[in-house]
Amino acid sequence: MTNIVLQPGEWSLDEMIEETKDGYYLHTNRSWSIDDLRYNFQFGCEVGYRIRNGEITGLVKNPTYTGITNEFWNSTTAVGKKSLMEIVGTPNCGKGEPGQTMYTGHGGPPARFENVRVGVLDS
Amino acid sequence: MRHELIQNKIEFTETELQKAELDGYEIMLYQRSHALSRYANSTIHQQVQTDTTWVRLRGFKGKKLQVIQTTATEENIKKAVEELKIAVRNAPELGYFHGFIDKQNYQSVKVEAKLMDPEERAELIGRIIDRSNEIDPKSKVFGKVETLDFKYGIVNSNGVRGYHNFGYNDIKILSIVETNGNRGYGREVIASMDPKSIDAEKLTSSAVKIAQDASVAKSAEIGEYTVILRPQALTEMVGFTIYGLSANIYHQANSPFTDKLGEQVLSEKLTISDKPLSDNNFFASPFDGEGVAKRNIPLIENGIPKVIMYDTLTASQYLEDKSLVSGHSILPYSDYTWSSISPMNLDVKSGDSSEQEMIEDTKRGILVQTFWYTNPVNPKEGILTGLTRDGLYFIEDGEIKYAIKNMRYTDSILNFFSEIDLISKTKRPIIDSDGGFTNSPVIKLAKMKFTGQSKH
Repeated sequence: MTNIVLQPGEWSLDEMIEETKDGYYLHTNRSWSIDDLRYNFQFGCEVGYRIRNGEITGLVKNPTYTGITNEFWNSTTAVGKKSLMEIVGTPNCGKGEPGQTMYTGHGGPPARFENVRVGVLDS
Repeated sequence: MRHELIQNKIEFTETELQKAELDGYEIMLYQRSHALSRYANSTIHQQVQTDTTWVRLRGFKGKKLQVIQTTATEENIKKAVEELKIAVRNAPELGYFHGFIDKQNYQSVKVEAKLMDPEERAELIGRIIDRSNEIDPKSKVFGKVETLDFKYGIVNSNGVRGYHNFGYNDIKILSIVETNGNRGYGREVIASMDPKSIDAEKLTSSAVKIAQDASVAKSAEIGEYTVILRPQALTEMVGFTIYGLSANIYHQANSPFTDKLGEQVLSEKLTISDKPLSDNNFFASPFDGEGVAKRNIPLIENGIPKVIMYDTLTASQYLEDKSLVSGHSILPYSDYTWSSISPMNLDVKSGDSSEQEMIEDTKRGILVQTFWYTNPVNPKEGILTGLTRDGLYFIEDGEIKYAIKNMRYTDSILNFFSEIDLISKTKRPIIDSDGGFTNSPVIKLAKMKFTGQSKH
């Protein structure tokens, strides 16, 4: 998938955080893995912040999150507004046998999801 | 002569480079004949072949180094040399660069692959389809029969000069069986130098049986299990383990082995060697991608990491001595290699057990056919994540009880390779399209952490 962009919503990032009682704000995927039917995924992030009672309370180390694709997207409760959009993405993505690669340009605003499993090894 | 075309083109390139007023140059010129017969839904749907000749040129002036690559026509070579001159002039200085490798002495190594032609590939696929239909008319088979004939030569301005070739046949069989709306997947792969040695019927029977079982798979709880890894699954884990011995990963402290060279960090039963000088290893070669003489070496010996893999640039950068290079610059046999430094001819030391003995010796565990989409989560701690695929079974009281749905594992190399119970006597050669080949046995690990379940 070379160009996938999440359509923006109406939320500011501050609003999302303020209306979160118990959660995490995770930033920039650095590790990714998904099953052959594209359901079970797991990502590791560069940085994460703990949110309690509407406020960021500190950093978390080596955060990961995991889920099932359709359950994850069905748990979306907020999507950031257009001004928060960023086009980022991995440098390339590959498929096929023999392998072929393409440059990618994915993007979107921040978004919030409910009941996502964060961290896998200590639970 | 086998390498006549390459020698002639190198001679032409060298004449052009000698006019370029560089302080030094290196020519890697290679011919890839790559053929593929692909089948799906039990029908051959593609027969393709590409034949390409490429040249990769490196040149430097002082501390300024550049590289350029093109298809090796005379016109392109002339143009590439001109562009290389300009690129070198405008390159930033690499303070640690100390030039290309000096003249080397190479050991001879023999690789005699009998490559299948299109009719032989079609005939083999026909046998796979026939056996699948015979066992279970519901089974549809998918996969490929692929061949590579790779010839190459390396020359540099310090007197390095070498020519070699290798090739292989690589077979993949994937069966899909549907039972009451549930799809089961079963996979077998094998690489071979001699098509006569491929037991297509046996491999197909195994793939179909796995798919039949997987179509009625049950769920298993997440948690830590004893695991038996078949060769396909072990190959993936070995590749990610050895990656931690690559110079950049090691020296940038992104490896679980950083500062632990020579320490007992894995099970004493684990020995992983690079064997480029063993006759008829799939990627056997007297020299690496920059003409450095190769040698057979244990990378991990009895659980102790022994060797960091360097090319001349990383040896110059981290050790300040290009002669300490280990001979692991990758040969350009594929466009899809994901590291410039790779061992290419891995061998996991055998034990004296068998898969059946391992199963009988297991109170409660999981048998894994293949891993999929493995990636590091925390490279420094050696933590990987990935999924099982195309064959997963639950073992209880010394027997395979039933197939289970795919699971995600998240665990550290330092944990799951710390306790190895058994290793099989027999091994299977597995080609990895992005890194080389591994001769892998079946292995039984005391523990591995499974952290998630898939829907299938």
